[in-house]
Amino acid sequence: MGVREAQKRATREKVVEAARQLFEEIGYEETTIRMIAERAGVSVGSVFTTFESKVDIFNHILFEKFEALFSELKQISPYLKGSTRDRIASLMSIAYGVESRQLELMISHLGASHGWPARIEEESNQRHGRLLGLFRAALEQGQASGEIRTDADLDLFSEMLFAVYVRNYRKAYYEKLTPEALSALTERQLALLFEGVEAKASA
Amino acid sequence: MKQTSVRVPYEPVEVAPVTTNRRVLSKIRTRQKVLEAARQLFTERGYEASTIRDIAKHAGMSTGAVFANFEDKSDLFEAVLMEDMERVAERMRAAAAVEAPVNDKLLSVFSAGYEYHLEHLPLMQAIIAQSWLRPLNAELRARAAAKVLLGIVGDALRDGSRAGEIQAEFDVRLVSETLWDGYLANYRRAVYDEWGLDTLRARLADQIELVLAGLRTK
Repeated sequence: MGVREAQKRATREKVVEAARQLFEEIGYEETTIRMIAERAGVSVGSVFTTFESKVDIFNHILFEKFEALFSELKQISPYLKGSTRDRIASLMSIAYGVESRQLELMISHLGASHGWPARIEEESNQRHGRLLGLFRAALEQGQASGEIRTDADLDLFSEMLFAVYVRNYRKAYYEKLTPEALSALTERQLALLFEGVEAKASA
Repeated sequence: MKQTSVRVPYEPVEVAPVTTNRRVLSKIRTRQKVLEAARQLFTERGYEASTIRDIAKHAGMSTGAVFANFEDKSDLFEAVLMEDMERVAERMRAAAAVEAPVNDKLLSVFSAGYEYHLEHLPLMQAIIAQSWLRPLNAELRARAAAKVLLGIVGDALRDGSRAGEIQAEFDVRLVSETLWDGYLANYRRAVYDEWGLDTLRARLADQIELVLAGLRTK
């Protein structure tokens, strides 16, 4: 790696770290590129040579954050015990546990996600798709074992799970729910949703 | 001099109410003008790109006149949001008043929301985005307003329960909120995947079926 490359990479890391701190401390909306540059100890110009815009810095942070969460979930998922519902509840609980360590960032993420450009949405969808894939894998396993009805629409179902999962961060944030309280709420939501897809024991 | 000092106590009684009324009326009108301008700009440009200066200009008044009515941009946005929620509540209530099976009634109630918000989707987008960013006290006020909407959903569920379509005993809040989660999540698709009313309705109908499936009596 050339000196220039190394310098560029060092700047990038400094910028990402400064942005991460600011997003967490004062939120994404309030943070400006100027603040990021100042905190990172670089010029505004060099922020722009490493990232196109603020939302791209954010997207990069979300990407790293997601990879960390996803690899943890993926590693654990083969060892999860219990019914399909239990396994999905566990996946969500683990995610809540990880995300609640940086809840401000998660809230900023969800807020920003409703106004960001389509290219970011596309990348974000790919990440969510992988997370949904874990839910889906558990559901398919449930179908194979006869726990979940074979005619259940898994796309619809996992999307609904995801909608509920994401909206729960609101509750966690505004009602100051602990990860445990959040998991308890999730249990009730899953109980309701699974009622609709679980195969009933035939009489 | 003496005459005026004698008349003074009477003046507030006879004249003041009229001027106050007029002043109140003109204040309400100003407020309404600002609100309208703000709604239009928020709809066209979203929250971030709309400035108080632009809103004032659009309303044909000074920024001072805007600040006389609203504390800041977020206060103004909240007023637009509250007005929206009242309008949606009205439409949802009308939709709920029609006799129908519980799933159809729920679909009509939520569709009333989609119909309303699809007309100015960027504003809805801003509303949802801001809903994640507002301070706690604003959240509590918004929740009070949202409770009205959730109440309409809850009542539709209770009707279905009374009619024997769904169980007599269930957690109304949990079910209403779960439906609500699905309803709101679909707005993303309207924004990014350009889903129209029909697609939204079809997806929602499936979501409603999914949630109700566990509650059906048969």
